[in-house]
Amino acid sequence: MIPILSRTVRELRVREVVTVIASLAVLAAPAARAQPRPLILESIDVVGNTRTSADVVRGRLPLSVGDAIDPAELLVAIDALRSTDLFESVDYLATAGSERGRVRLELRVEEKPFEFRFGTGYRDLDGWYLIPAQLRADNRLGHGEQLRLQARIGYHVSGIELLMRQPPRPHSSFDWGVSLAAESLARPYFLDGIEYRHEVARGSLGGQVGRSFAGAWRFEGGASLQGVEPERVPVAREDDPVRGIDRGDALPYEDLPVEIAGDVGRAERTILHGVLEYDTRGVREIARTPASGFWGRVRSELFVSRAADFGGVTVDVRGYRARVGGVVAVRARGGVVSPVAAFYDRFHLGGLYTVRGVPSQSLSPSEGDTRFWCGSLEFRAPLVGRPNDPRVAGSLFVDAGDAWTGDNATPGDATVTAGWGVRVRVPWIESVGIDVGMPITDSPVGESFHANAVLGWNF
Amino acid sequence: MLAAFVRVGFAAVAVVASVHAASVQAAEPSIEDVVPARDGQLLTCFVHTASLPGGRLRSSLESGLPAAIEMALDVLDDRNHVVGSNRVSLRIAFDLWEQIFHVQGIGDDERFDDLDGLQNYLRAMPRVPVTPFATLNIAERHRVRVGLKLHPVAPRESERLSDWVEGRESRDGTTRDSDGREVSVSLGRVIRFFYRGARRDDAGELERLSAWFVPRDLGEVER
Repeated sequence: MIPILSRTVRELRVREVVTVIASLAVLAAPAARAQPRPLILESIDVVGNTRTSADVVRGRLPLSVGDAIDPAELLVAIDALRSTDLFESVDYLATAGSERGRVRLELRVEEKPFEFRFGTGYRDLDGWYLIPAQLRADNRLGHGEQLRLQARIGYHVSGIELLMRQPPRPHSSFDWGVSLAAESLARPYFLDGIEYRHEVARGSLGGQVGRSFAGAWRFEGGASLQGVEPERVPVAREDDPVRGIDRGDALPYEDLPVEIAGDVGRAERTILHGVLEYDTRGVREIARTPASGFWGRVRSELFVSRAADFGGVTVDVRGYRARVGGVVAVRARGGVVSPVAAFYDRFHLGGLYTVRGVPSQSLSPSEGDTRFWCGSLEFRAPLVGRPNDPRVAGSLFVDAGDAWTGDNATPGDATVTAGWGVRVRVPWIESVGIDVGMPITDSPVGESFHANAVLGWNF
Repeated sequence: MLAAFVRVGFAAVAVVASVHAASVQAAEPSIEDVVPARDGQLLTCFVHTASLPGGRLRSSLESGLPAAIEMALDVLDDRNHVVGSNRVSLRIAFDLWEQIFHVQGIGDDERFDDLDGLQNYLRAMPRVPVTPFATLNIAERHRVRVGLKLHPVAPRESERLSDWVEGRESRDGTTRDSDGREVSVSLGRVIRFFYRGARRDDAGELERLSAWFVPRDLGEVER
């Protein structure tokens, strides 16, 4: 019995050992498969390029021959090439290389034709405008340069601009651009509680050179020649039956504030500028907003003219952080300009891009201010659709700001507003929506809320 | 004379055969048929295709990169409103060292020793669930619309069924600087969009509608 028992026990042990080894082998097999041998990029061929050299195309692809690649990296690289906007289309074909585990990549590009486009846009100071016509002749020389002629028509701005820009070439950190523009800007301001708009004609020819360094930093320096000529008088934007003012009536020159009347007339100046930017915003987005990182900019300008030389500095800092299914976005801005600056070069606080619960530029006097600060704290979250690119997104925000001239700052004088916003995704235009702000402190115009139509997010 | 005639005949047959072979080789992938079926409380459908995986997917697979086929299934009612839908992604990979095709996505994972096996599988894929039967008006006629999108290189898991299914447009012509934003669109692209339709503008997308069917008339699928 005993030998038989002991043999049975031995057999059982052998079976157990075999079972354990087999189990380990089974468990190990998926682990081995989970780490496949890497694929190596053997070659990158370019097909369809008639103006752009293959080296330029390869230089824009964030992959090199000899790199180990995985499918996700390859798709990201192709998307990166597409996003350079150099080509009408970018397609690819992957084929087996000369030996197992090697991949040949064929990039099939189609050069961009002359393009006729239309669109819309906004600038912080000038608000919304339409682009009824834009002619693009990008990459005609095959170096990735951009040549564009476009018209703008908006409530506060209209004009035409010719722009040539060269983004950084592969293996280069320099970029440059030149522009020729003629436009008419409307500067709104309030006089005795009535809103007026003052047209300012501006023509400029300028250029700049930029250089990126240390990954996140960029410096830009440039100069432009500018001619500016405000209209002699502003026109009313609203009726006032009590004072017998109709919309469109011109304010007599004699009634203009002396600070504005002194700026009427043609001025020619040279503007030198320097810009330092810092950008660590991540690629990942939530509700079309960077989910992490910072962006900051310091811009200094020196205006040189026969009448007076003066300078100004503005600082703009933004931060983003993912929180509870959305993004907390913060923006802080401030600026200083010389008291000799004309009303159209000064700061005007209030409105969609500074303090949203009050009308545009209503927190500054008609001639503007020489110093300002403003800040926004905003929570944005997807409401319907994919988190990174939702069909509908919402926001809650608090804005605050103050502006003054000289040393007249009064602590506690800041205007604070809070509100909410909604953005709806629209094909081609990204998103449009509305921001509704309510004053927490006194409103300069006595409104209980102020609504703004918006293109995309403010920052 | 007869020998020359036979030689010419053979040559002609050879030319026709080679042209036919070339045309078969170059045939574009297509959805041949969509057949709805009932499986208990589910509406399912058979999707019959031809010429899959197709040249581009095959080329990618042979290089070692995985490919993917995204499948969008929608049930349309009599007014062409979508009353139920499902999205399925097939991931196809070729193990260069074991020389085996792997397919994941519908039912059990499959392995094929050669391309013929993969082609046969894709020609008549397993039944795909579409929507619970309870979501349908059983007395009204419906159709199943099947769309296939071919990805020569499989996107990340989280990115499958993304832009295409959500109908997202590319961010064409968006420029964003620190003080403003501009968006513009090419007039030519807009004209193409309305002329050809958004989906057909993108190569690699296939679509097919089933014949009309009334849910209560559908037979149970045979097991």
